[in-house]
Amino acid sequence: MKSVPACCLLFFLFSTGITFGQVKYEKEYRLKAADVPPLARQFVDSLDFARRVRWYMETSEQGKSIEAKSKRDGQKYSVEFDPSGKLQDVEIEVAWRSLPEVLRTKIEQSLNDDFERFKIRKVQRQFSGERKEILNYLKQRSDGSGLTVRYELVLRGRKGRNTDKFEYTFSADGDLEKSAKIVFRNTDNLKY
Amino acid sequence: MRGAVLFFFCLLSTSLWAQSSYKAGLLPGLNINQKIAEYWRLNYKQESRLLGAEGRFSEPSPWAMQHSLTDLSVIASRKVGLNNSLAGGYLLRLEKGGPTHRLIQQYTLVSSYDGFRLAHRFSTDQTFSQIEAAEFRLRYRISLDLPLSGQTVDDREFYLKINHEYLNALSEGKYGLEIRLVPSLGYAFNDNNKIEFGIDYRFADFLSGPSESSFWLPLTWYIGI
Repeated sequence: MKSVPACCLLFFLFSTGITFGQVKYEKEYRLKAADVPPLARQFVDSLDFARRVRWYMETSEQGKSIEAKSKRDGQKYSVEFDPSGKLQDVEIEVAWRSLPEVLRTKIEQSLNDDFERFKIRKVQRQFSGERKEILNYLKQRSDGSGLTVRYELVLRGRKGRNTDKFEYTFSADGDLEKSAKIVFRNTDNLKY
Repeated sequence: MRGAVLFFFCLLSTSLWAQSSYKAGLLPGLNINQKIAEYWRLNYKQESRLLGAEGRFSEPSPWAMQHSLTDLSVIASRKVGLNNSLAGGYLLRLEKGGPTHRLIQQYTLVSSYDGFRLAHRFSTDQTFSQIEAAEFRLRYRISLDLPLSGQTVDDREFYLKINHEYLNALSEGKYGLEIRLVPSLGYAFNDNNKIEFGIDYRFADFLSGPSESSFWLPLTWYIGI
């Protein structure tokens, strides 16, 4: 008999939970290659990825975007398009040590101003510009001088007693363009 | 000769399995998490055990649902690093023989990777009641959650979660080991509102004699407030 109130409570929460779920709207989901705009697919096909390409659709309050993820020559690539298939940017994961020393020093100075301690977890070199120019650069047919290059860093930073994860974007010259704290998704269901 | 040895072991294992006991039932639960300060959280948990059947594998018993016990717990946790936290709390178990009290301490570490999350939980607990001897446990659990669409578990998406746990128990000088495996299917209404349903398989007492297997069907609701 004691199980009856517990079942009623669960039923109540089931029904209220569905209502809670309609407040926030932000998601990312897998996309079949056949559903990707031809313009985007053509660009990615021309990059000759050896590995399988995974396509994602991202939907948020800011709108929609399409992203292709794959690997080429041991490097992780992320290519972003708008919903019509127009290229937005290409991000390539690179080693922190592969950046020029002058640039690293400048970025480190900037990070030292913000944190007592920090550890860089991920570095992505981001290219944006004309579709043809980006393709030529990635196919090593040009030096990419006409492209806009940025560096996106994911890092763990400590200020006082607080340690958090951040995303910092720097220009090709190492000037800080923007920074944001990364908010983790809820982990309660993994802890209890 | 090899065939005969194999046949003998098969016979032995079948005989041991027949002597083994089992329990089966439902585990409905409610898990509420409240943020009380920037680095402090409270977890309130209610879980009932509804026993459907128990007996020996050789003599299966009919299914008859009855309330076995209800656990109520509150645990306070503090974030001590980027993705790790320390927690301590109290659990009250309500069952026929009288209440049982349990003190819990735990350390958790959650790492996010491309396409999945992995959590490690190290915990100790001490259980006291008037009818049974005190029990001290050392537990380790590894958990994985995997989105079934995209790279993260977004709102209104299904995910797969797998818990695997080892529980070392000491009571009256006797050591016991229990192993749990819990594959679950989850659905996230949003980041603070998830429901999980799975199979909780527990394998215990296999070191000291005929083992005990438990098959529970957990249905847990996680709410963040």
